[in-house]
Amino acid sequence: MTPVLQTQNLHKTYSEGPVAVHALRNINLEIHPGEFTVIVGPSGSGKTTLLNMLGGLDTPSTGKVWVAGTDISELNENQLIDFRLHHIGFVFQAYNLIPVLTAEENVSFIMDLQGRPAAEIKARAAEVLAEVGLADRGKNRPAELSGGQQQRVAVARALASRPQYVLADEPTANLDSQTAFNLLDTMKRLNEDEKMTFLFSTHDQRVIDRATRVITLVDGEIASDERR
Amino acid sequence: MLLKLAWRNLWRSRKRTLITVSSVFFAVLLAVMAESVNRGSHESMIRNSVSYFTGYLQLQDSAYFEEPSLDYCFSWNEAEAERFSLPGVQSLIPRLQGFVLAAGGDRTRAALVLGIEPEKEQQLNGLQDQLLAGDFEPGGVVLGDRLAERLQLGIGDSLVLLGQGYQGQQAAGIYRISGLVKPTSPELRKQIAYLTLADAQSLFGAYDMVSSVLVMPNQPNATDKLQQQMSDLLPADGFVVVRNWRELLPELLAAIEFDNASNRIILFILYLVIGFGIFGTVLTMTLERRKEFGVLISVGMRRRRLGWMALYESLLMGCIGILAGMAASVPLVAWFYYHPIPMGEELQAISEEFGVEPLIFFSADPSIFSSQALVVLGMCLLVALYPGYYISKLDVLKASRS
Ligand SMILES: Nc1ncnc2c1ncn2[C@@H]1O[C@H](COP(=O)(O)OP(=O)(O)OP(=O)(O)O)[C@@H](O)[C@H]1O
Ligand SMILES: [Mg+2]
Repeated sequence: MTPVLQTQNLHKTYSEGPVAVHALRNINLEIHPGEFTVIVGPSGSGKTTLLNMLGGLDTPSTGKVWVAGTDISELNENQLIDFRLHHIGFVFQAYNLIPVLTAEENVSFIMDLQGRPAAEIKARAAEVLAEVGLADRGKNRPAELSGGQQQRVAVARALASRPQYVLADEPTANLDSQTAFNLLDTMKRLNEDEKMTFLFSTHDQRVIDRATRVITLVDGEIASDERR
Repeated sequence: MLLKLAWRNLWRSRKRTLITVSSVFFAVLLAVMAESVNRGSHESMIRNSVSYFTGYLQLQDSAYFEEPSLDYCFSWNEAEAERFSLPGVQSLIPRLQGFVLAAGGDRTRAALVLGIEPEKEQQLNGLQDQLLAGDFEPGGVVLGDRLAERLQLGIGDSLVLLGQGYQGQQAAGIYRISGLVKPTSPELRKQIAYLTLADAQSLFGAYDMVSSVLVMPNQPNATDKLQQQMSDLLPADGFVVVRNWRELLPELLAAIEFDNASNRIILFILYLVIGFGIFGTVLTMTLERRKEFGVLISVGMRRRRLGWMALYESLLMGCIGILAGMAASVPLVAWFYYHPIPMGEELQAISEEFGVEPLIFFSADPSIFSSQALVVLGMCLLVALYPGYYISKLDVLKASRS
């Protein structure tokens, strides 16, 4: 099976400060379709940095990142933005919905930017909202939803346009444990029902229990990579 | 979609947007009214000056403007009048003027003799309504009231006019005072002596000649076009030219332009104030959404589109303010255009002294409205440069994490 995501000798060094920080060293990774991968590691081990590279939000110091056959480290800024729009879904820690749009409009937003036909967008938004269990909250604005519901809308938005994979940097960090648990359930279900590939970082042990693959980073290097 | 986003973003902080929009509203209202009064007063000044003194256009000898002497008069008759009665012309008013000494009893004063056709002047400026007593009649002279006072003469008395006529001829005549007139201009009250055109022509020996022909167009706005048409009728090598009021009244034009400049400075300050008002709102709207902008770019929105959204936001605020301002000022201006405000009594005395009507006039020129709208829109565009710059320089990673 061809991987959706592949890295080769990925390095990231921050040299702005007094000493150079090697945030990532020699990362070689392959992510396959349908995987539910968690990246764990102590604080400062490079999880966020790695996800930024994989999402085309930051460029590696050396090394390559291929997404579905494209080397995204070669793209310029606008190409990268368009690439993210069409191929990568994002869920951020918290409060990343557009406050003036309803849940339904937030879910439609990426598809709108992609310029898809209105009828398709409407149908797909309704479908995904139902899948995350918010079919009846489509007309509510983010401020009228709980933190957990907001994160579920964010997940729905990320995968509604059927990207290659969804990246999430500590998506449960701002949620209490029961809500975090629900969100994970939802993501896992989408992983199975929609065959959506998820890749996220966490400190949360229960998240790790549900993963099909756990990558552990230590000091910017892959210390272990186990499939279950 | 961008427009929808922009619109909703505006109402995120309803109070703030309303304050900004109403500042635009009041500025537009104020600016339109100020400009309307300003132009209205100029229009009335022009109207006054052209109807008493110059006409919107004037036919005269090319040298007359430099040296308004009787020697530069030109011949004018029925046929000429026929030729220049173009469709855009409301009336042609011939005048012959010259300075003389007016002597009556034992007093002598300098006087300005103006040979006129009374009915035509009446149409032009209501001259007959300014008569205090008597009337214009052949063989008679109508004096300015102050001039008559100084000469200590009244209706029925005889007056001798003495001076130089056309091409150095002796000009002398004796006339019966047939009327007294009180023109709005204080200068004229002290100087004017009206004769009929024919009497003046024979006094100065300038038979069938005039110093100037005032032209009143049907549409004052079409003056320049009419000037062109009339010039085309004149032989290129002839001495007679058509001048417009701007050439004839350079002092008035200068005064108006000075007034315009000072008005523009006031408007500029007004716009600076609301410009900063809009800028302040746009600035806070931009800075408080740093994280949101970061997220939007992260998920795949190009910076340029985000910039457009910010531009729409400031344009929308401006447009709402402008439209509301127009909606309020159009009926106001229209009302005052037809109902000029009378000045208070003290001002009334002053305005009489200076020979202007004691009313505050408003102009309803559509360009007043469009120019205000354009200025505000231009300002909104200028203000929107800031969020555009901010978005183009935004560090996405830092912003979406903050
Ligand atoms: N912009 C930056 N400039 C300099 N150093 C940075 C920058 N971003 C990250 N780093 C450094 O790179 C290393 C990896 O940081 P990163 O944020 O990826 O860790 P993390 O595993 O996500 O940590 P946490 O679990 O606390 O979120 C850290 O030592 C951090 O200080
Ligand atoms: Mg992190």
